[in-house]
Amino acid sequence: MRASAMLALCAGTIATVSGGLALRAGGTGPEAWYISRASGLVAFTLLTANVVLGLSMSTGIGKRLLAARMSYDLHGFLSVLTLVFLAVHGGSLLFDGFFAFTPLTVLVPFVSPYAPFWTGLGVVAGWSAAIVAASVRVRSRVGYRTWRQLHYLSFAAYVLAMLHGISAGSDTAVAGVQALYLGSAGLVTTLLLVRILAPRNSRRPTASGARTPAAQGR
Amino acid sequence: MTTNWLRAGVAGIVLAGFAGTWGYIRSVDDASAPQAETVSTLAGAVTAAGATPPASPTPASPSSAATSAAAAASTTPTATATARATAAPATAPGARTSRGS
Repeated sequence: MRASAMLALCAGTIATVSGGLALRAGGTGPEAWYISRASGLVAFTLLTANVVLGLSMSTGIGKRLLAARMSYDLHGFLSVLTLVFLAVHGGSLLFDGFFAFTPLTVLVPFVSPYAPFWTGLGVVAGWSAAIVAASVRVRSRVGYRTWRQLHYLSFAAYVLAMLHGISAGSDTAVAGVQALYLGSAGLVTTLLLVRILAPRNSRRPTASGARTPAAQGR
Repeated sequence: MTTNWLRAGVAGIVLAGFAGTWGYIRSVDDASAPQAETVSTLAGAVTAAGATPPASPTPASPSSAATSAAAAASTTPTATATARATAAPATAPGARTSRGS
């Protein structure tokens, strides 16, 4: 309950600040555009952090840094935070006075008034992240195998989000943003290689169907 | 309890990061937007020197400025950012209509 309250507080704060400032700008100023860009970069950073945390957990590296239960809890919390910032990323575009975004063009891939293809990849990435987050909640109902297959969507979400950011983002030329993309790709690729090359029996502690803290908690 | 502190800490860091990124993006855009003063100063210098400006690609009216901005916006994200900054003062209903979708 406390976690839900904290999450609601967090989401409410962001929505209030972002929406309020966007509305104050009258819908024609660039503030909504700034909010969208900033929240997009934060969402990508959160997605990276969550993919890295997930890979760390599955490779066993995470256990040395954080207790298993805390890792699972943080993993779920980061996924929700990512969705919150994705909502702000898309939602703030509705207040932008430059492009005529509508709820339809924000939610449906490849119909955006700006860079339809690259923006569409971002929409698909967002939906993929939402499906992965939702699959955790229904894991006990869909079964381990289905949950695991759905969880692989997170890699698709990550790659699509990066392509979307690089190609449609206004800040790709900024050195700090380039460093973010390079660092993110390097970290995820390294951990992915570790996971692929690691002995199989050392990275499937819950494959027997045992309920993990994540499954128990949600 | 520890988990709650962890969540609160993460949420705080993320919110601070969001605010910082927002401010940074705004400052970068403000710095890169062409200043009206600079443009008028340059125009004045050209006139004072008695030089005839070449057939300028510079838009002569707000509506043509908006059209050029829209054309630039359709190319790259960077061009879009520039176009947004340039076209902002011309805002105008015309500008929005011409950008359409």
